[in-house]
Order: sequence, then structure tokens, then C-alpha cells
Amino acid sequence: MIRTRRTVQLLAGAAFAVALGAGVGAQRPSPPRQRPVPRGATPATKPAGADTGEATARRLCSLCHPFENIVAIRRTRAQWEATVENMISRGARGTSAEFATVVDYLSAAYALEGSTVRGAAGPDDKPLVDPKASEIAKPLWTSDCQLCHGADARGTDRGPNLVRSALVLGDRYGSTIGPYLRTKHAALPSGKKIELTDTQVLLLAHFLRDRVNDTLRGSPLFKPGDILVGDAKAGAAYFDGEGRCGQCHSPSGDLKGIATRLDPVGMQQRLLFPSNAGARRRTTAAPVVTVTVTRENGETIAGELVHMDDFYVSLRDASGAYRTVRRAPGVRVEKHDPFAAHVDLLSRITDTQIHDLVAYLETLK
Amino acid sequence: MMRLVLCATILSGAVLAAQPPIPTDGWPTYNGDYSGRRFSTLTTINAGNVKHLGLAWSYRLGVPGSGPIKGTPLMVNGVLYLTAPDHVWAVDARTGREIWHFANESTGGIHIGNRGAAIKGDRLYVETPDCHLVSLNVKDGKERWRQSICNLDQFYYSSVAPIVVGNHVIAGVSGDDLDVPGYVEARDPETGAFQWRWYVVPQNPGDAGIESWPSLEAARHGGGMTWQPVTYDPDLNLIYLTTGNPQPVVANVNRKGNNLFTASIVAINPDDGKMRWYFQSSPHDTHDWDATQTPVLLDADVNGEPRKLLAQASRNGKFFLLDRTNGKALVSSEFVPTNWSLGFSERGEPIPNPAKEPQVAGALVTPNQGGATNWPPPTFSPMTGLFYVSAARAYSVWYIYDPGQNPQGWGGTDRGGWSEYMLQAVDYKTGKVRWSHKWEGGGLSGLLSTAGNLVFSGDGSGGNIVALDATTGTPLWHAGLRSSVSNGPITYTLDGLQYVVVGAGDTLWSFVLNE
Repeated sequence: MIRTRRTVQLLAGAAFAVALGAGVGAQRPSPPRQRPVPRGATPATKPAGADTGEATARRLCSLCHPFENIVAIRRTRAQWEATVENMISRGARGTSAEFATVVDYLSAAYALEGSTVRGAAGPDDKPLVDPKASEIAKPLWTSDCQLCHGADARGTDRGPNLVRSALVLGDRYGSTIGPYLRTKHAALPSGKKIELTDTQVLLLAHFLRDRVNDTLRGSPLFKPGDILVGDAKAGAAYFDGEGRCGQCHSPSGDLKGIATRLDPVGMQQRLLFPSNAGARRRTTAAPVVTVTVTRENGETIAGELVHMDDFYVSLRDASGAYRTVRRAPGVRVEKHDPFAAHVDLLSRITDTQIHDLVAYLETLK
Repeated sequence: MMRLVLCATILSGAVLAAQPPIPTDGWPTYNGDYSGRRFSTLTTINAGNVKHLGLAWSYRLGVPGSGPIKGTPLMVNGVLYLTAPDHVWAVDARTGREIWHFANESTGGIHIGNRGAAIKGDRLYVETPDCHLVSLNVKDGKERWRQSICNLDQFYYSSVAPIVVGNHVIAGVSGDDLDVPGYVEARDPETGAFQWRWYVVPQNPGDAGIESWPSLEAARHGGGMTWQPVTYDPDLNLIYLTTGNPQPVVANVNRKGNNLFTASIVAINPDDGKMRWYFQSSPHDTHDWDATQTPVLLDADVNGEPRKLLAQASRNGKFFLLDRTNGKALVSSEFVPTNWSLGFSERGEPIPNPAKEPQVAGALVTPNQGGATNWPPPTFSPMTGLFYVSAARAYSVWYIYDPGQNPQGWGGTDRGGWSEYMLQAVDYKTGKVRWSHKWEGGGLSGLLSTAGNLVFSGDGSGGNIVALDATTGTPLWHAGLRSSVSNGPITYTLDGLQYVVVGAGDTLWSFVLNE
């Protein structure tokens, strides 16, 4: 018997009702453990073009992962872009257009915003966080809990880390923290005795699960910080000097206004890894790898590389025709990588030079 | 920078066959035998005739979405036992016909992969993602018992191929979202009853390794998952366990120190669960480089004396040859160029370069998170003396996302990158790459070597299974499989025919000689 999955649609609507609804009373602080619950959540509504996007995403991603596993973590658009870029560097194969389709589809169908459950791991009955309930709990947390457990619930010298607490991780809508708070937790440092209504316990349960979710890779906090730490002047010198960037690029030409088109992380990624289709997808069509194939009889065929392995090379020639040549002994293949200079840079450039270069590019508004 | 700990000249070339070889009529454990070599003595298919290899049968997983096949199937008494998360199939090894199918009704866990099953007599053992070790009847796939081996609420899950050693089923655990400790357990093969648990990271004051953590709190939550099956030396009665990276994975300000015994190779007595020695492949790892690559056991003469050795090509790009009686390093080297370390310590362990730890503004590091290699199993041929590993030269930028004083979980990651993939043949005596065969496609592959002077490997996203000359690295044969090779190939004989069986995507492919 294979597991069936409920949809987020079902639960998203139910979550706040669970949190604050009429059924929440002394008799029912904790809904029964339900299973199965949505991992690999089905999108509530299909965005336009979803069929194409889903088919493309399944085709490209399922070669290495069960698709349902990939989408079990919801992400922001930037996070999906970063994820796709990482997969490209690990061998995912597709065209730039296909990867753009995949990012568009995943960002729309599996967006972080509005998600009530985060993270692929854990049990199927993971508690869903209602953001409103979590928000409502904040004043209570700040006044009674924060002094010992910290604003992020990760503990202080006065009290333990609750994000790592087995009691908290096993909680379902107050099922374990409620009894603990009422019977085992010491009085507050102020001497105040803990007296919580069921609703307050439920609110705290949402708040704590929210803080656990903050630590997961699908969290909105999971994003780069300020990377502009370099010296723009040194970056300009590197651009024209050791980096030899000026041989192909110009601040008044192709790079004019680059800082208005890409954020600093985007510029850093693109200067290091321009061949990564995910990294360059937001800008104009990128140069492609071409090949020149010389057969045993001296005939040459040239065009855009489609596929190559040890045994065959496939290309699209100037007329647009698809051609495949067996790499028999005597067949020569010359590959022309337009990004070869950037690959060469990887083993030479220092982190300081990278930061300086990004600081310089940031001046090209 | 790179230092060979022991001069190669004291290692002679003779490789002894002290380990019992893989039985030619089967493939009874994850690696074929306890040694982890994945070397078969079969010679029916060899470098001279491999060009005639052709399709025998293919078997496509009957459950959509349950692939790709990442586990190594077992072959016992003419039946293949194949796994995917929540699924086990018994398939006729001669014909590819399905005999039975077991499906677990899951209660959670990550369904990203399952490495395989173990068999003892008429019992099969498999882990399911929802933290269970399950035993089935070999003959019909009916469940005998199940035991919980981890806690889903703490985001553990199960994916490891169990290994049966004597009267113990050795089972590891998975999971790296929350800061929880890794461990390995031994269970009774008959009942599944708990025998012992060995924690990778200290759990109590005074535990071994506690000095390598800033606090007991950090150690108790320090990670170190046991993602891969153990290897075993019956003479020494030691299992060789490999351990995962520490937690929090990337942001690490709250776990300064070497973080023992994460990212290590550990020798454990299977009868009492006690550690005998350790070697840390990645001290204070900050790049998700678990050291769970197969610890391959080989025996060779050193200075005219037979020695018991252990070799690992680690995810961090380093190659190690150890004395497996005591964990002392004989060779430490690189099998691909890396930029994250400052040479090796007296113990032969890498010294991480703090400047190449993840930074808020980013640090350009090679290898990337995927590693210089990863879980796809390597192979060692005692005929050629070469250790073959599917490898990547890959760069990415590593960022700290959580610059606070108490990060949890990951607190950062790497992003983007450039990579190229190759098959590296490493001379175990020197740690140097004898030959390298670069693939056009991207992606790693499991490997198999045979006495037919062959190495079988996938060619990444080229989508081919390729047989190479084990001595020279010349490709001799290939077949297009529609998907990349996704597991480690195996081989066995039935009715005088030698089969080579490999998983690619959702399909198992079987090849024999066309004669």
C-alpha cells in the first residue's frame, strides 16, 4: 500500500482554524497525530504554463532525485535559482531555456510564501505553522520566555535551547509543551507562576515551531548577507591588469549598468561561473559551446554542441540541422568554450580579488 | 603543500588475497564482500571480448517515482534483491522477471535514496525512510518484524544498507537538517532486539573526543551521520565505520575544534560496540564533506611483511592509506587538486585552511558541496593495484548565511559552480593518480572492477555504461541507458554466463556476452 498525500491546500486552510478555532479548548489542545500529511506538497493552483514547466522539471530533476522529494522544501525564487545553479554544477543537463522554465515553474508552484510546513525531513504529521498564530505569540514570548531562552529560542546562559529540545520537536500543537509548562517548568525569574490558557499554549507551540523552521534550508532567513566587502579601486585595477577582464569586457560596453541588472551575489556568481545556465538566465542569451568535427576524409562539420560523450558528438549546424558523428579513430573534435578564460580564472583568482572585482562592478550603475 | 606521509618505496607491489573474494555465483552484500573492494575474480567477460557484451534483460521499477535506483542489488541463489525508499523487489537474476514486491506504508522521512538490503539465510533486512529496520522473508517478501532505529521528530531518516556481521545487523542512520547526533546500532538478526549503539559524537562528560568540542551541548548536537554501510575484517573482528560531517553544517562558530568523531573512519568491535581507533579524514569540516566513502580493505606487503591496510578516497579530495590494525596513516595525498587545506598533520590528517571556511562575503573553494567524490562506491583491483574512484573537480562559492554566535542547522551553503568529472585510477602505494579518464558529461558513478582487467563505470550525464581497460583506462565498450548510471554495477555467474547488472534511472539493465 503506497502512502497517499493530502494537499497543502487542505491544510493551509485548516491551520489557523486549528490554531485559534472554536475547537481549541481545554478538551482539545492537541489535534490527534494525523498521517499522512503533506510532504511533496501538491500546488494549490497550477500557474499558467505549469504543465510544460512541471514536465520539464520532472524530466530534468528526476534523473537524480524522486521529484516529490525535491519539492518537499518550499523556497523563495532566489532560493530556487540557487538550488538549480547548484544542480547544474553537479551534472544536471539541459538548455538555458529549460532551466529558466524549471526555475519559473518551481518558484510559482512551490513558493515559500504562504507555505505552512517547511523542510522535507521529519514525520508526515509535522506541525503546520500558522504565521498569524506565531506572530500573536510574540508579546507573550518577549515578556515571559525571552530572557532565558532568547529571542530566537536558541537558549542563553539562563535557559536551554528550545529549537534543539526533544520535547519541543515532539510537540504537536501544545501536546507536550502544555503539560510540561503547567507541571514541570520552574517559576519565571520574576517569581511569576506560569499560568497559561490552552490558546496561549497553542500560540507558543506555533511560535516555537516557527523558530525550528527558521533553522531549515527552506527558511526565508536562508540567504546571503552583505558581500560588498571589497575595494572598488583595487577591483578596477584587477579588471584592467592581472585579471585581463578588459580583453573581452568593457565597463562602458557590455558591462554598462551591470549593477542595475544583477545584485552583488549575482555578479559574483556570474563572473566566476558564467557557463552555469542558472546563473546567467536573467540576462540576455549567453554564448554557446561550439565544436568543429573533422572526419577521417578531412570533411569538417561545425556548429553548436548538443551532446558529446566518448563515442558520439551531436551538434546543430549553421542551417539548424541536427548532426551526429561517431567518434571513430581518426575523427577529431575541437571544442570551443566561450567561457574558457573564466574557467582558467578559478585556479588563479583570490577571494580578495573576487571581492574587489564585485565592489568595482557594483559601481557600474 | 601535499605531503606523502610515508615514502612509497617501502611499499612493495604485491597485493595479497587475504580477504575471501566475492563468490562468483552471487553478490551477497552491498559491496559484494566485506572488504568493500567491489572486485570480482570472474574472467568470462574480459578486455579481449567485452566488445561483444549485449543486453540480456531490463527491469523497470513498477512504481512510478520510486527511482532512480541508487542501491546496489544483492544476488543470492539466482534472485536479485533491489531496493528504493519504501520498496524491495525480488527479481529473477536470469530473466529480469519480478518475483515479489514489498511496499512500506510510510510515516515520513526523506525519500531521497536507499542504498540496499542485507541477507542472512532466509531473512532480508532493509531500512525504510520512516526510521525503521525491517526484516522480510527472502522467499516471499512477507514482513517478519520491524524495529524503530531513529526518531522522525528529530528529522532523522533511514537510507543505509544494513550489513550482517556474525550475530549482528549493523544499521546506520541519516539526516542533516537539525543538530542531532549520529550513531550506529547493532540489532539481533532473529528478533531485531537492540544490542548496542555507538554515538559518533560525545554524549556525556568524559566521553572520548569531548576535548575536541567547545562544550557538551555542542558535542551532543554535533551530527556525524552514518550514511554508508560498514566494511569488516573477520580476522581482526573489526568493523570499519565512516562518519558524516559535523553540525551545524556550514556556520561553525559554536563548534570550534576538531569535532571528533565526525568525518572520520572508525574501527569498532562488532560484539561490544566499542571503538578501537579512529582517523579523521576532515578535521573540523565546514563544507558538508562527510567522510562516508567506502573504507576499502586490502592486504599488501610493506617492507616484505604482509600488512592489513585500509584505503579511502574521501569526499574532501584526499586519499588515505591506513594500517587497519591501528589507524596509522601510511599515505596521505590528493586524488584531485583542492584549495582548502594547509597540508597534513603528523597523524596524516588534513589541516583545514581557515581562510577557506565559508565566509559571509563568500569563499571560492574546490571541491564543491557535492565533493571530489561522494557516495557512489569506488573499486580496488588487486590485479592492477589501482584504486578507482569516480571524481569531480568542482568549484563553488561558500557563504555564511547566519553570522550570529549560535547558528543551527546549516547556517550557510555553497552556491553555483563549475565542475568536470573523471575516473581516477590511484596507485594505492603512493596515493598518486596513475591515469585519469575525463568524461564529457557531468555526474558521479559507482564502479566495479574484475579480473578480466576491466573497470565498469557510468560516464555521467552521457548516459552510458562504459567498460574500460583497468590497466590503461581506454574505453573498450559502452551501451546507452537513457539515464545516467545511478548505482554501483555488480557481476555474477549463472549457468556459466557472466552477467553485469547496473541501475540507471528507474531501470535495471543486465548484460551478457553474445556468443
